[in-house]
Amino acid sequence: MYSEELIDVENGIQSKKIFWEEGIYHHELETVFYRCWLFLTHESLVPEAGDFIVAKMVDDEVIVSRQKDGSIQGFYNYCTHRGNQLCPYEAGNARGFQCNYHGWAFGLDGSLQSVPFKEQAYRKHFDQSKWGLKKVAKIESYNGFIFACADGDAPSLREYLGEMAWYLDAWTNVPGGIEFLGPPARSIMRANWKAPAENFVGDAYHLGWTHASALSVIGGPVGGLVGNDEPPPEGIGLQVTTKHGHGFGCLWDLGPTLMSDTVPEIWQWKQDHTPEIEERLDAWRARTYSGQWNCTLFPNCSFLYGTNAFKLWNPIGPNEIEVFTWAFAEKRMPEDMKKRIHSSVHRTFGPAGTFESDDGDNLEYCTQVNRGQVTRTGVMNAQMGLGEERDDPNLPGLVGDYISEISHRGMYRFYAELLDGATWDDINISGDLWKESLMKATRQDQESV
Amino acid sequence: MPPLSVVNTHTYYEIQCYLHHEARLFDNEEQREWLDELVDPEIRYQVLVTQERSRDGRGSGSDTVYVYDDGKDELDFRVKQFETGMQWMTNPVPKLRHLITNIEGFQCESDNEFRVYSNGMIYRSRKVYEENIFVFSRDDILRRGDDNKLRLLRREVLLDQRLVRSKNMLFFI
Ligand code: FES
Ligand SMILES: [Fe+2]
Repeated sequence: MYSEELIDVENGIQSKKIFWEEGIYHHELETVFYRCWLFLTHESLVPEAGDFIVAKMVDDEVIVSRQKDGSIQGFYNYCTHRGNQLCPYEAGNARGFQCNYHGWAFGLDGSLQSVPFKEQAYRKHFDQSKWGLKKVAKIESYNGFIFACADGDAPSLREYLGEMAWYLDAWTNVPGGIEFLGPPARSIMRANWKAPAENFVGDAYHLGWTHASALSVIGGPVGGLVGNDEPPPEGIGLQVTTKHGHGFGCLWDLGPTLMSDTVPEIWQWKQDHTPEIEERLDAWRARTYSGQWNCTLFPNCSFLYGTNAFKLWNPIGPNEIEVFTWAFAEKRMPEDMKKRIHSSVHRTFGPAGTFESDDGDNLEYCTQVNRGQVTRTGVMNAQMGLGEERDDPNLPGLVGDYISEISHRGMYRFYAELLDGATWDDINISGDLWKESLMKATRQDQESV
Repeated sequence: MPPLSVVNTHTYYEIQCYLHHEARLFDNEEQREWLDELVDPEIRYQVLVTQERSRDGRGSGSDTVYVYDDGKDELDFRVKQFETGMQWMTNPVPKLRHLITNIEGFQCESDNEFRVYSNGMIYRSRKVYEENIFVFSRDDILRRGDDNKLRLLRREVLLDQRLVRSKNMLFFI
């Protein structure tokens, strides 16, 4: 098995090589990034027919456009003639796209619409109808969040999100939906993509130490986390991992703390709208609505709900990523409130963010130290909370303590399955078996009692 | 708006001194002194990056990303964060250098306010191997207080990069 030397699922240990080696990275591109649904953009950024965004799926560029019938399409951003990049813009509105090289013109629907002096130049041996743009295999959106997948055999986006969709509904499915506030900030981090993915998937442990400077200036209840002097009180939150590697954590009561100063009315807003979530869903999810979430949608899309920063870690190579940072809010919020949420998000988690600047070094140096030939023969430990996983009948996935690494283990379990060449058929057939390898320590503890 | 008139030589000299002074404070980790002495309490401090769209401008939404969009309180938060001594990234001390050039000064409608344009470059080096360069233009308004001193009332920094080629921009511009 490819993953045998790299990932020890049952014991929560990973080889440091996965953050560095070129060969593993190329294997990931063919397995992980080929099989999985990747985040592109949000529907609110392409509201009108003809609106488009050029998104990234690792190194592939995809033109995501709103069609005349309101649907969303995704085409690879290259001209089918001699292969030039077709659309040089990040975003815009167009009836179609004309190539800068020889002028071939494509419609919004991807069809090849015109070829300069076609009759004289091509004569008989050219079938214009066959040279439309190449479509991405699958493109779908869930509550407005647009994802695409290169594997035509992949399950629907809803099935891919799996257990996580149940949790996501708490805030993504509000009346009027979610709105992304403007274009993303873009920056470069010299980190492997999994370093930030695992940080957001369930690393609450780092908050009090990494972010000590910012939290101590904020003070109040979060100031208590500073310095990791004492573990936070039990029941402060939880972490959840799922079959497809997605993980989410919720800190119950401190939800919008990071935007308190800029958007003080956010607390009241959450309180006012909680009953409606309870009515639509249930009391448990209504409580998460005013919580602070960390989350990674495997493989490389993360967000903090409560702080409202949405991130994409797009790999550039084994040890470098491009970071996309969007701000989001509920569409129905007053414009002025959305504007302040926008600046609050970039102030905390944009390229000059008060919290972002705390994280960068950790993520980069978790990666860069592996340049060392001996260093990268070492391993990483994600054993926190091992043996404490709970299979809660009321909650999809597996549940662990707020300060635990259950979601790291869940993420690397699915990662290993993909590295070993699992197809979607294999993954689907295995059903709920995924829980067994993660719960092995728990079962052993039970038997020894 | 009527065309702005160029400031007199003496004022231009004061403006130049102001910009060089604040650059030195930034580079010497004297952010507190900058904020307390050189910044007007009504400050609006913004750093912008713009999304690349076609010249025709067609499409939905804005193209602006505010890397900074701060008032005095938010700037104060950042300075305090540095002062905690727990901002691990600033230890060891990063080397920071602001190079300021192309300075122009104009008289605003109000007697005690000046519109100041400048270009600049920031060089940052830290942890032996790390090196970053940032190039920008600035559009400022400096206000002269009752004590005759110039203070920053508004600053709009336009970064000349769409992509911030670094993990962060933990410094003032
Ligand atoms: S490469 Fe696009 S028209 Fe020739
Ligand atoms: Fe963090």
